[in-house]
Amino acid sequence: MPVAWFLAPYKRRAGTISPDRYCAMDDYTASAAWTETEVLGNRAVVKVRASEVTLAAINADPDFVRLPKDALDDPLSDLSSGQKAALRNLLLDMGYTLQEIQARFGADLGDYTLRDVLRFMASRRLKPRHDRVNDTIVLDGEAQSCRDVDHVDREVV
Amino acid sequence: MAFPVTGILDDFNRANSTTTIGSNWTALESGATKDRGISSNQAYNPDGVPNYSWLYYNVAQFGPDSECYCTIATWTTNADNHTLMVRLKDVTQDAYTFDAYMLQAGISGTDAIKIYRIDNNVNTQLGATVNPMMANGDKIGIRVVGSTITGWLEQGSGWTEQLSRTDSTYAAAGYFGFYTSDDSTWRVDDFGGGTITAPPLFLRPPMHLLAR
Repeated sequence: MPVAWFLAPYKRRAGTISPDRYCAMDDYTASAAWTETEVLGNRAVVKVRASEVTLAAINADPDFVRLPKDALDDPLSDLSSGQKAALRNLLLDMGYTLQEIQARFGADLGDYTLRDVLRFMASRRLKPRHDRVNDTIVLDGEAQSCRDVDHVDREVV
Repeated sequence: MAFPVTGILDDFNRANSTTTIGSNWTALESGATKDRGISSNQAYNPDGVPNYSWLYYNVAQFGPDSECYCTIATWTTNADNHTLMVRLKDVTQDAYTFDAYMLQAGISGTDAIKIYRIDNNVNTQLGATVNPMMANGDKIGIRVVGSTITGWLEQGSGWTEQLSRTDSTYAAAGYFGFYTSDDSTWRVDDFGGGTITAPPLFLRPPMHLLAR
């Protein structure tokens, strides 16, 4: 079966005693094999192995973003300007600054591979806490390390 | 490595109580509504709905490589779960700042086992949910070795690994803990666990001692 990379959100699980969040890819576990690394912006970089039908269903889910390449070593050189701009905007939306993005990738993401972008996405995440007054999960704590994307890659083949 | 490799820490074999499961356990939240108890040599929640509690075994910290397990003599009948925690730290009562790795098992709706990382009392599930069928008398276990966290189940014919997850956030030794669901029907027994020590490497004898 084919594999694909997605950026997936974390969802709050309702009806739990303690604040509980999970990677939304678990909603597709019945029809997909997957593993993830939590990254900045309450998201996870996820590698999925599933049928084309399931991958299409996940791609159609507005909460998910399918990344433009399927293998870590795939170059981004053939991405359109629009695709590269969308990828850059995704990094900004996650919470990385323009300065950080430019320092890492310069002017053209096309000079890099999917691995380079995913490793950048997995530069850090922030420790969550529970705002008990408003019953919300807030991700504004100390920076924590992310699981290595190569390890994620090896786990789903 | 077989599971478990450590022994029972608390078999709960003592006098019935409606206020405590023993001095070796400390609650992460204070208050009389967080009562725990002993009934027929098993741990239980005498207060039921809506009173749940998080407890940790205060005798020692274990690890960093460690495992713990227990018998679910009777599963909670609420839409709730049983949990085990390892590498539990920051246990200041009522601060809600504790961190840990957690195995969560429940039979409400679809039977499910999950592994979590806990950050400041926020549970983040690691990876996918698995769905073995479970019943009264099953045993659940969690082991953490390095950055690998595994969940285990025993249903009468030996322990089997149900799921394995990777996370390196919390690498230090910590306490063991479990969560007491907010109903008075569940019973937990034979809480066990301990530090896992890697077996010694085979050491080749010095060359001059080898048989010629």
